[in-house]
Amino acid sequence: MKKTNIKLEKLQKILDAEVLTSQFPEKLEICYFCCTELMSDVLAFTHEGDSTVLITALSNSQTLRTAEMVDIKVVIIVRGKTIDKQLIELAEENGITLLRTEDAMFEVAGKLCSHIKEEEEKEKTKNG
Amino acid sequence: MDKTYHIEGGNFSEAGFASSDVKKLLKKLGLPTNIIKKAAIAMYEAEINVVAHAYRGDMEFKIIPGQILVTVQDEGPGIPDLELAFTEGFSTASSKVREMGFGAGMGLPNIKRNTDDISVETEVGKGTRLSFVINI
Repeated sequence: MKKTNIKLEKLQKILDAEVLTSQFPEKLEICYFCCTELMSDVLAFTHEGDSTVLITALSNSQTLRTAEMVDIKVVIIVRGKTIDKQLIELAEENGITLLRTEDAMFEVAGKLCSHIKEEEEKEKTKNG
Repeated sequence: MDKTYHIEGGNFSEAGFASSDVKKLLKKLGLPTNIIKKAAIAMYEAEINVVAHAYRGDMEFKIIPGQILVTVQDEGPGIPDLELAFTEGFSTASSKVREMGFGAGMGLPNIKRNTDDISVETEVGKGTRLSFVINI
Protein backbone atom coordinates (compact mmCIF):
# COMPACT_ATOMS: atom_id res chain seq x y z
CA MET A 1 0.00 0.00 0.00
CA LYS A 2 1.30 3.43 -1.00
CA LYS A 3 0.71 6.45 1.27
CA THR A 4 -0.14 9.82 -0.25
CA ASN A 5 -2.65 12.64 0.06
CA ILE A 6 -5.03 13.29 -2.83
CA LYS A 7 -8.66 14.36 -3.16
CA LEU A 8 -11.10 11.95 -4.80
CA GLU A 9 -12.02 14.47 -7.55
CA LYS A 10 -8.33 14.71 -8.54
CA LEU A 11 -8.00 10.94 -8.55
CA GLN A 12 -11.04 10.61 -10.80
CA LYS A 13 -9.53 13.10 -13.28
CA ILE A 14 -6.10 11.43 -13.31
CA LEU A 15 -7.66 8.07 -14.16
CA ASP A 16 -10.40 9.52 -16.36
CA ALA A 17 -12.72 7.30 -14.34
CA GLU A 18 -16.48 7.06 -14.70
CA VAL A 19 -18.47 7.54 -11.50
CA LEU A 20 -21.11 4.79 -11.27
CA THR A 21 -22.77 5.60 -7.97
CA SER A 22 -24.99 8.56 -7.15
CA GLN A 23 -22.70 9.47 -4.26
CA PHE A 24 -19.33 11.01 -5.10
CA PRO A 25 -17.65 12.70 -2.11
CA GLU A 26 -15.26 14.74 -4.28
CA LYS A 27 -13.38 16.28 -1.36
CA LEU A 28 -12.68 12.93 0.32
CA GLU A 29 -8.97 12.65 1.12
CA ILE A 30 -7.26 9.50 -0.09
CA CYS A 31 -4.07 8.42 1.67
CA TYR A 32 -3.61 4.78 0.63
CA PHE A 33 -4.04 2.69 -2.51
CA CYS A 34 -4.56 -1.05 -2.46
CA CYS A 35 -4.19 -2.72 -5.88
CA THR A 36 -5.23 -6.37 -5.77
CA GLU A 37 -7.64 -9.09 -6.82
CA LEU A 38 -7.04 -10.93 -3.57
CA MET A 39 -9.83 -10.00 -1.17
CA SER A 40 -8.15 -12.12 1.53
CA ASP A 41 -5.25 -9.63 1.48
CA VAL A 42 -7.59 -6.64 1.64
CA LEU A 43 -9.19 -8.12 4.77
CA ALA A 44 -5.84 -8.93 6.35
CA PHE A 45 -3.82 -5.81 5.56
CA THR A 46 -6.14 -2.77 5.37
CA HIS A 47 -5.52 -0.53 8.37
CA GLU A 48 -7.03 2.86 7.42
CA GLY A 49 -10.06 1.83 5.38
CA ASP A 50 -11.69 5.27 5.45
CA SER A 51 -8.82 6.80 3.49
CA THR A 52 -7.98 3.78 1.31
CA VAL A 53 -9.01 3.21 -2.30
CA LEU A 54 -9.35 -0.37 -3.47
CA ILE A 55 -8.28 -0.78 -7.10
CA THR A 56 -9.22 -4.15 -8.56
CA ALA A 57 -10.30 -6.07 -11.65
CA LEU A 58 -12.63 -8.20 -9.55
CA SER A 59 -16.12 -6.87 -10.18
CA ASN A 60 -18.35 -9.07 -8.04
CA SER A 61 -20.37 -8.63 -4.86
CA GLN A 62 -17.53 -9.94 -2.68
CA THR A 63 -15.38 -6.97 -3.73
CA LEU A 64 -17.96 -4.64 -2.22
CA ARG A 65 -18.60 -6.84 0.83
CA THR A 66 -14.87 -6.91 1.50
CA ALA A 67 -14.63 -3.12 1.14
CA GLU A 68 -17.60 -2.74 3.49
CA MET A 69 -16.02 -4.89 6.22
CA VAL A 70 -12.79 -2.87 6.32
CA ASP A 71 -14.50 0.55 5.92
CA ILE A 72 -13.14 1.24 2.42
CA LYS A 73 -15.28 4.00 0.90
CA VAL A 74 -14.00 4.02 -2.69
CA VAL A 75 -13.59 1.11 -5.13
CA ILE A 76 -12.17 1.50 -8.64
CA ILE A 77 -12.78 -1.28 -11.15
CA VAL A 78 -10.10 -1.45 -13.86
CA ARG A 79 -10.15 -2.55 -17.54
CA GLY A 80 -13.61 -1.02 -18.12
CA LYS A 81 -15.38 -4.17 -16.96
CA THR A 82 -19.13 -4.54 -17.21
CA ILE A 83 -20.69 -3.92 -13.83
CA ASP A 84 -24.10 -5.27 -12.82
CA LYS A 85 -26.80 -2.87 -11.66
CA GLN A 86 -27.04 -4.93 -8.45
CA LEU A 87 -23.40 -4.21 -7.73
CA ILE A 88 -23.99 -0.47 -8.02
CA GLU A 89 -27.02 -0.80 -5.73
CA LEU A 90 -24.95 -2.73 -3.17
CA ALA A 91 -22.31 0.02 -3.27
CA GLU A 92 -24.92 2.73 -2.76
CA GLU A 93 -26.58 0.85 0.12
CA ASN A 94 -23.25 0.75 1.90
CA GLY A 95 -22.04 4.28 1.16
CA ILE A 96 -19.28 3.08 -1.17
CA THR A 97 -18.36 5.15 -4.23
CA LEU A 98 -17.81 2.95 -7.25
CA LEU A 99 -15.69 4.13 -10.19
CA ARG A 100 -14.62 2.45 -13.39
CA THR A 101 -11.62 3.15 -15.57
CA GLU A 102 -10.64 1.77 -18.98
CA ASP A 103 -7.02 1.52 -17.80
CA ALA A 104 -5.47 -1.77 -16.68
CA MET A 105 -4.15 -2.12 -13.13
CA PHE A 106 -0.54 -1.52 -14.25
CA GLU A 107 -1.47 1.76 -15.98
CA VAL A 108 -3.53 2.91 -12.99
CA ALA A 109 -0.65 2.22 -10.61
CA GLY A 110 1.80 3.93 -13.00
CA LYS A 111 -0.33 7.07 -13.32
CA LEU A 112 -0.81 7.31 -9.56
CA CYS A 113 2.89 6.77 -8.82
CA SER A 114 3.83 9.49 -11.37
CA HIS A 115 1.37 11.89 -9.78
CA ILE A 116 2.70 11.21 -6.28
CA LYS A 117 6.29 11.70 -7.48
CA GLU A 118 5.38 15.00 -9.19
CA GLU A 119 3.70 16.26 -6.03
CA GLU A 120 6.72 15.28 -3.94
CA GLU A 121 9.04 17.12 -6.36
CA LYS A 122 6.85 20.24 -6.20
CA GLU A 123 6.92 20.10 -2.41
CA LYS A 124 10.72 19.77 -2.41
CA THR A 125 11.10 22.77 -4.75
CA LYS A 126 8.69 24.84 -2.64
CA ASN A 127 10.63 24.09 0.52
CA GLY A 128 13.93 24.90 -1.20
CA MET B 1 -29.12 -9.66 22.30
CA ASP B 2 -28.62 -12.56 19.92
CA LYS B 3 -29.25 -13.39 16.27
CA THR B 4 -28.77 -16.50 14.11
CA TYR B 5 -28.09 -16.52 10.38
CA HIS B 6 -28.23 -19.45 8.00
CA ILE B 7 -25.37 -19.71 5.50
CA GLU B 8 -25.63 -21.75 2.31
CA GLY B 9 -22.47 -23.47 1.08
CA GLY B 10 -21.37 -22.38 -2.39
CA ASN B 11 -23.71 -19.38 -2.51
CA PHE B 12 -21.27 -16.55 -3.13
CA SER B 13 -23.92 -14.04 -4.16
CA GLU B 14 -25.33 -14.04 -0.61
CA ALA B 15 -21.98 -14.41 1.18
CA GLY B 16 -21.37 -11.51 3.52
CA PHE B 17 -25.02 -10.73 4.18
CA ALA B 18 -24.86 -11.88 7.83
CA SER B 19 -21.64 -10.00 8.58
CA SER B 20 -22.98 -6.89 6.89
CA ASP B 21 -26.18 -7.07 8.94
CA VAL B 22 -24.25 -7.47 12.20
CA LYS B 23 -21.88 -4.64 11.30
CA LYS B 24 -24.83 -2.28 10.78
CA LEU B 25 -26.31 -3.41 14.09
CA LEU B 26 -23.04 -2.79 15.96
CA LYS B 27 -22.85 0.69 14.41
CA LYS B 28 -26.39 1.44 15.60
CA LEU B 29 -25.40 0.30 19.09
CA GLY B 30 -22.57 2.84 18.98
CA LEU B 31 -19.70 0.43 19.64
CA PRO B 32 -16.13 1.72 19.05
CA THR B 33 -15.07 1.65 15.38
CA ASN B 34 -12.08 -0.65 15.98
CA ILE B 35 -14.28 -3.23 17.73
CA ILE B 36 -16.87 -3.10 14.92
CA LYS B 37 -14.14 -3.59 12.32
CA LYS B 38 -12.59 -6.55 14.16
CA ALA B 39 -16.01 -8.22 14.54
CA ALA B 40 -16.95 -7.56 10.90
CA ILE B 41 -13.68 -8.99 9.52
CA ALA B 42 -13.77 -12.10 11.76
CA MET B 43 -17.43 -12.80 10.97
CA TYR B 44 -16.97 -12.24 7.25
CA GLU B 45 -13.93 -14.56 7.09
CA ALA B 46 -15.97 -17.21 8.98
CA GLU B 47 -18.93 -16.72 6.65
CA ILE B 48 -16.70 -17.07 3.58
CA ASN B 49 -15.19 -20.25 5.06
CA VAL B 50 -18.66 -21.85 5.27
CA VAL B 51 -19.60 -20.72 1.74
CA ALA B 52 -16.24 -21.87 0.37
CA HIS B 53 -15.84 -25.21 2.13
CA ALA B 54 -19.07 -26.46 3.76
CA TYR B 55 -22.52 -27.58 2.58
CA ARG B 56 -24.39 -25.32 5.00
CA GLY B 57 -24.00 -23.68 8.37
CA ASP B 58 -25.43 -21.36 11.01
CA MET B 59 -23.79 -18.31 12.49
CA GLU B 60 -24.93 -17.32 15.95
CA PHE B 61 -24.07 -13.84 17.15
CA LYS B 62 -24.53 -12.67 20.71
CA ILE B 63 -23.64 -9.55 22.70
CA ILE B 64 -23.25 -9.78 26.45
CA PRO B 65 -21.84 -7.06 28.70
CA GLY B 66 -18.21 -6.58 27.68
CA GLN B 67 -18.11 -9.21 24.93
CA ILE B 68 -19.25 -10.19 21.44
CA LEU B 69 -19.64 -13.96 21.07
CA VAL B 70 -19.87 -15.71 17.70
CA THR B 71 -20.34 -19.40 16.96
CA VAL B 72 -20.34 -20.84 13.45
CA GLN B 73 -21.45 -24.44 13.15
CA ASP B 74 -21.27 -26.07 9.75
CA GLU B 75 -22.00 -29.38 8.06
CA GLY B 76 -19.09 -30.08 5.78
CA PRO B 77 -15.85 -31.94 5.21
CA GLY B 78 -14.25 -30.86 8.51
CA ILE B 79 -10.60 -29.88 8.86
CA PRO B 80 -8.11 -32.79 8.77
CA ASP B 81 -5.14 -30.79 10.12
CA LEU B 82 -6.05 -27.82 12.32
CA GLU B 83 -2.48 -26.66 12.86
CA LEU B 84 -1.99 -26.45 9.11
CA ALA B 85 -5.33 -24.64 8.68
CA PHE B 86 -4.06 -21.91 11.04
CA THR B 87 -0.86 -21.48 9.01
CA GLU B 88 -0.85 -18.28 6.92
CA GLY B 89 -0.82 -19.15 3.24
CA PHE B 90 -2.16 -22.70 3.57
CA SER B 91 -5.41 -23.21 1.65
CA THR B 92 -7.52 -26.03 0.24
CA ALA B 93 -9.83 -23.63 -1.63
CA SER B 94 -11.19 -24.61 -5.05
CA SER B 95 -10.51 -22.61 -8.20
CA LYS B 96 -14.08 -21.24 -7.98
CA VAL B 97 -13.31 -19.82 -4.52
CA ARG B 98 -10.06 -18.33 -5.80
CA GLU B 99 -11.92 -16.67 -8.69
CA MET B 100 -13.99 -14.86 -6.06
CA GLY B 101 -10.82 -13.36 -4.55
CA PHE B 102 -10.37 -15.76 -1.65
CA GLY B 103 -8.35 -18.88 -0.91
CA ALA B 104 -5.11 -17.14 0.04
CA GLY B 105 -4.84 -19.11 3.24
CA MET B 106 -5.61 -16.11 5.44
CA GLY B 107 -9.08 -17.07 6.74
CA LEU B 108 -8.49 -18.71 10.12
CA PRO B 109 -5.24 -16.78 10.80
CA ASN B 110 -7.08 -13.52 10.16
CA ILE B 111 -9.98 -14.54 12.42
CA LYS B 112 -7.43 -15.31 15.16
CA ARG B 113 -5.73 -11.94 14.61
CA ASN B 114 -9.00 -10.04 15.04
CA THR B 115 -10.40 -11.86 18.08
CA ASP B 116 -9.50 -12.24 21.75
CA ASP B 117 -10.30 -15.92 22.07
CA ILE B 118 -10.93 -18.60 19.45
CA SER B 119 -11.71 -22.32 19.53
CA VAL B 120 -12.31 -24.86 16.78
CA GLU B 121 -13.83 -28.32 17.10
CA THR B 122 -13.86 -30.32 13.93
CA GLU B 123 -14.68 -33.82 12.75
CA VAL B 124 -13.60 -34.99 9.31
CA GLY B 125 -16.64 -35.87 7.20
CA LYS B 126 -19.09 -34.18 9.58
CA GLY B 127 -18.31 -30.53 10.08
CA THR B 128 -16.71 -27.76 12.09
CA ARG B 129 -17.71 -25.59 15.03
CA LEU B 130 -15.80 -22.32 15.27
CA SER B 131 -16.32 -20.02 18.26
CA PHE B 132 -14.69 -16.69 18.94
CA VAL B 133 -14.90 -13.82 21.41
CA ILE B 134 -14.19 -10.14 20.94
CA ASN B 135 -13.80 -8.09 24.10
CA ILE B 136 -15.57 -4.75 23.98
